[in-house]
Formats: sequence, C-alpha cells, structure tokens
Amino acid sequence: MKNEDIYRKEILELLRGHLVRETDPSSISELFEKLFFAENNEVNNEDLIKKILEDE
Amino acid sequence: MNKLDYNLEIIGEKKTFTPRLEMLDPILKSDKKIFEISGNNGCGKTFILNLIAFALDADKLGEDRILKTIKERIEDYNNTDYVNLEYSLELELPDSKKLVLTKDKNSAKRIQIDGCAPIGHKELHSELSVIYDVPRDPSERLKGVVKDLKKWNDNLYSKFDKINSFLFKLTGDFDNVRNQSKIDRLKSESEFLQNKIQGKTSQIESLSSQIDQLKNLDNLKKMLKYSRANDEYEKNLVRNQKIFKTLTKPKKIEKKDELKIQTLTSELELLNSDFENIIKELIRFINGDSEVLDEINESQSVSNNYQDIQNFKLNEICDDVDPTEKIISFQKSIEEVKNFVFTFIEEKKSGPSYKVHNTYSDLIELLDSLIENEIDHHLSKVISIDSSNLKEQLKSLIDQHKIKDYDVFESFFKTRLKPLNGIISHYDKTHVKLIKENKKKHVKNTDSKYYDIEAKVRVLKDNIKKTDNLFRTIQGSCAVNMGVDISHFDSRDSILKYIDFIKTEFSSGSLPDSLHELIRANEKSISLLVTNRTQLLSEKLLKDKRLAKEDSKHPSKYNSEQKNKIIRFQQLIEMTIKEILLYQNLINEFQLGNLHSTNHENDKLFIEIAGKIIASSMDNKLLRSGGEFINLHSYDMINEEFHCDDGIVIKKADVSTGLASANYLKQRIENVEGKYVVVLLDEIGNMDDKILGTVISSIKKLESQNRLVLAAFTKPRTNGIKIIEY
Repeated sequence: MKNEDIYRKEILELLRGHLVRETDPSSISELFEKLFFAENNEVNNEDLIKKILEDE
Repeated sequence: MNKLDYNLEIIGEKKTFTPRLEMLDPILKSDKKIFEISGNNGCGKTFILNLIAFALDADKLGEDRILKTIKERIEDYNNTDYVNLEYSLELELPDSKKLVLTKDKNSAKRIQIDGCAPIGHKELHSELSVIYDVPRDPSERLKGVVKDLKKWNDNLYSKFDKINSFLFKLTGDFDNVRNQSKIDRLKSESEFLQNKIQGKTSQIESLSSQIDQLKNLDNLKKMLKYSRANDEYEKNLVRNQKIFKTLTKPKKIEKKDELKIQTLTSELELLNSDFENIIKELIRFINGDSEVLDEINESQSVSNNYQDIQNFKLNEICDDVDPTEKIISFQKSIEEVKNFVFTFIEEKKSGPSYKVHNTYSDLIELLDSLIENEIDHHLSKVISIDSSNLKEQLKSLIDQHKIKDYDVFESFFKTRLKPLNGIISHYDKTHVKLIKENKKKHVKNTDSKYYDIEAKVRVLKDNIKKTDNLFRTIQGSCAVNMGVDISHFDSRDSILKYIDFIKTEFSSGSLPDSLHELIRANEKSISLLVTNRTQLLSEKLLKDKRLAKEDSKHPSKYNSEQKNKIIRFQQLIEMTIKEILLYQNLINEFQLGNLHSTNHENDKLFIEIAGKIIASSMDNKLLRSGGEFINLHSYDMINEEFHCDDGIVIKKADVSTGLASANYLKQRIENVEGKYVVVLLDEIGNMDDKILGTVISSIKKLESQNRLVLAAFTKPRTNGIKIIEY
C-alpha cells in the first residue's frame, strides 16, 4: 500500500469515528470510504448523487 | 542502456570531457538495469547522473519532486556561457520502446520515443518519473516525509472541496424548487385577502354613497333656508321701499356730503345685519338643542341673560343718549351664556354616557382590529363569545348611550361670537361719526330717516343678491350630484319632496339633527376602512409576489427524503473539510517549527496518525547505536522523538544518518507514480551494504512491476572505477 493510501486510510478511520453517526445508513459510510480512496478525476457528480440516494 | 555518448566543453576551464569507457562499457554491455558506480572523486560519475537527468528534463521538475540543489546543478547545462554540451543517449523502456535523448552543439534538447516526433517535458513526465536524490541529513528527510503528508492532505482537501462545492450548490437549490403546497396556500391566502379588500371597498362605496346623500340633503336644506331667507328679505324690501317712497330726499345737502352720510349709514346697516346674523345663529344653536335650552331655562339668571341677548337691538341701543351701560350688560350676558354652555358641554363629556360611548367605541375599534388580523379567536376562547356577536352587543350598548357631538357647538361659541364686541364697538363709533356729520350738515331727523331706509333697501337688495347667488350655486351642484335637471329645485315644494325622499332612503329614518355630525362619523369610518384596505392591499401584493416567485420555480428532482439524504452527506463532507483544514494547519505549524503542544484531542489523534505514517515511511525500522534494527511504531512530532518496541524512545538527533536516508529513499521509490521510472542516487556512501540492500530491494520492486528504466547510484572509492550491477 502506498504511503498516501495509508494516510487516507488512517484519516478515514479517524473521521469516520466521530463524523459518521450511528443513524447514518451503512451505504453513507461506504460511500464516504470510497471517496477517500478515489482519485480526484474519478469523482463524478451524477454518480455521487446516485450513490447517495441508493437504498441500503 | 543502449547508448551513452557525450562531449562536454567547460568554457571557463578550457577543458573538454568525453565518456570514459571503463565506466560506461560495463553499463552499456549489461542487460541489467540497476548499477552502482563507484570511483574516486572527479572521475565523472556524478556527471553521468547529471547528464541522464538533464537529458530527461529533470531541471523542469517542480521543487516538490527534486531537491533544489540538484535542480540548480543540472540547470547549469543550459548556460551556453558556461558549457557546450552535446550528447546522444538511448534507453530501453520496459515495454521495449526506445527512448532517444539527443542534443547537438548550440541546439535544443530532443526527446523521442521509437523514432516518433520529439516530445516536450510535460508529455515525457506524464509517463516517466525521475527520482534524482542525494542521501542527506535525516532531519531533511523527515521534512520530506512531512512535505508528502502535506501534499496528501492537500489532495484530500482538493477532492472533498470539489465534492462539497457541487453538493453545496445542489442543496442550496433545494430552496429554489417549486413547492406546490406553498403555492396552494399562497393562492388561497391571496384570494382570502382579495375578498376582504372587496368587502372593504363595498363598505367604503356604501358609506361614500351615504355621505353623498347626506350632503345632498344638507344642500337641499340650505336651499330651503336661502329660499326662505330671500322671501323674508323680499318682504322687508317691499316694506322698506314703500316707506322710502314716502320720504323726500333731503335738500340743501351737497352731493359729497350726501355720499358721506350714505356711506356711513350703509356701513351701520351692514354691521347691524352681521350682528343680527350672529345672534340669530346663536339662538338657533341654543333653541335647536333642547337639553341646553332646558338647562338655561332652569337657571333664572342665565335665562334672563339669554333673554337680554335676544332682546338686544344694536340699531336701537345706539340711538340712546348713553348706550354704554346696555352694551356692557349685553356683553356680560353673552359671556355668562357662553360660560354656561361650556360648563354644560364639559359636564356632558365627563358624564357616564360619554365615557361608556367613547370607551366602548375604542373597544369596538380594537375588536375590529383583532377580527381584521384573524387573532380574535384567543379572545373568543377567554370570554366564550364569538367576536362578531360581541361586536353587535357592544354596538347596541353604545346605541343606548348615544352622545351628541358638541364639537360644532363648542367651535361656534369659541369662534363665531368673537367678532361681536368688535362689531358693537365699530357700530358705536360709526354711529357717533354719522351723528356728528348730520349735525355738521344740519341734517334733520327726517333726512336721517331717508338715509337709513335708503341704506336698508340697499343692504336688503345686496342680501337678496348674495342669498340668491348662494341658492343658485347649491342648486347647480345639487342638480349635478343628484343627476336631475336644475328646474327640479325651482320650488320649495319640489325641494321638500326630495328631502323626504332622501330621508326615507335611510331606512331607520332616525337621522340626527346634525347632518355634519353623521357625515364626519362616516368620513372617519371611511378613513379607517381605507387605511385597513391599504394594509390588506400591501399584504396581498407581498403574497402575490411570493406566489409569482414560487410559481416561476421548477419542480424538484428530489423528494424530501432524498433531499435529507443529500443534505446529510453534504454536512459530512463539510465537516471532513474542516478537519482536513485543521490537519493542514498542524502540518504547517510543524514545518515552521511551531508545533510545541496541543490540548485538542483531535489534534493529538492526527499527530499520532502522522507519526505512524512517518514511521511507516521509514519502513517501521530504526537502527540503534549498537547496529541492530528495532521496530519503529511512530514519530512524535511535538517532542521530535521516535517511539519503538518495548517503550524505547530515541531522539531524532540520535538516529543513524545512513538508515534514515535509506528509509527515506525507500518510501520515495515505493510511492513513485508513472508508467516508467528512472532512479538516480548520488553519494550513497553513508549507507552500508546492508542498508543499501533495503533501498535496492525497493528498486527491484519497480523492476518487478516492469516500470524501471534505469537505476544508477554513485559511491566514492579510492582505487579506480568499479561498476556493480544488481
């Protein structure tokens, strides 16, 4: 794993711990994780909305 | 490497350098890609690295990718006052393509892949990464890792900021989408207001029409009054004309004297007429109000005073030898009656009826406002009675305590009586003047009578003319207002018929004595209604504007549940950005050497993470002074110390330079991006074979990934040149 990925993973765990609520659907937490590891140019707005609205 | 040829002329030193076969032959003839070049100082081993880096345009790399000192070193080869450099290099790429790098004397660098058209550094560096480094002080290496941390953090920020901008705009537009229930509510509210406005308008129109009728009635009454007054004047005129005919015009009086006497006599007649009009008006006011008249009659003295006023004849009093006493008595009577009337009004106004009427009128007004603003239900709950019913009951109560409007009455006594004293005084003086004039001109009593009657006739004619004019004016306006021909008001009978007609139109038929009072009350009501309607209109305008705005919006793409999901995610991203910015701040503080302590739990957690990453970038290993490796867990950025196994803590300053360098190089090599990689490491002398082996193993990883083009590192050696291939 590249160091940048290790950094992303650690920061994700830190933030997920206190930003993601228990009431948030697990899909939100999963999407949040995906965004951490996605490259800048890989984030497509339309897809993002679709994923946010996806049912669990 | 297939080819490496060059010609380097250092102009200042007047020296030219060409390739040394013992250094290059082993490399060019080998099929390996990793080489260690060792040799004594000045043998040109570093130049080989510089040349490859220069040919690969490493001087165009940003300072985050190459050390500034190395960049400056290879940039010097662009300076044609310093060197003349020609070269021709050929490297075999992992996918067997040929990378040819050439430069002829006095011409630009050229980069070509597989004989295609030359490419620029941007295109080259988009696929090929050059790592050119010199192992240095571990502090510098640590800074390098922190620099990387900053870059990764910035990458996260830039990514989440982009996402947040998109979501922020999207959620911001949620308020701009069409809300049908809001539209329906606004429409219904607007219609409700419109109905209320129409109701007010109808009320205003009805009251205005009533006022018009009342004004017509008032005008008709005035016409009657003027018509009757004219009849009276006509009768007087006829009588006086008859008397006048019996009188002979005085003789032996010069024309100019006669004119003076005529003027004075006319003046007296006019003053008397004004005086009588005021007194008649006073009597009309008092006799027209039975309550006032009764009160006057109940008091003997006031009643006498009132009688004296009625009996007082200005034109007769002044004929007395000394009229002063009578005048003073008259003036006293006026004052007495006036004060009596004022006291009467004052008592009335402070009486129970007045209080009931005024206070409950205020209450009705308040109730109107509550009903108007649709907040009367609170009151209805408290008093358990419907607001409209309450209003009707209050109106009925007020009707039982009807009060008179004494304002006109009061105003008359305050203003209209004022000229009396002046008229009397003026009359007295004019009368004295006339007597003197008569005496001077020897005018006899009979002559004087001639002038008196003559003046009376003249004044009566004037009055008839004035009254007739007033009648005609009112007649004209009445005809216009009532939409009938002017001839309808030629006779008093016809005027009376119209009066009766209007009176019956007011169904109650109980018109107050003072029409003006009713007109004023109606005008006051209209004024209130107009204010109310204006408020309603502005309220409606506001609602219509909101309605139009809402109506112009587009329907929402998302339902409320979806909106909530998007909003929640946007909040999550926004909070993430805030945290990332805090980390950015911590990294900056560390870079500036200002990170000495922190009390924030979140900061501590981040520093812990950063410390772990630094440890990881050093392969989680640290060389102890005894030569053995120890497992490294984290680096404490605040206290600048390494935390290892068994709670061992080693200060940064005490760490082996060679291992720190190797650790740093390993993390750079293993994290390099790009399809092809060239690794150039100068002066690796501070690393022993064991440590160097760990760096080479990282390079070997690149080779196994089929990304390595060439790796070369230099090491000092005292006994000639030696090339080791790995």
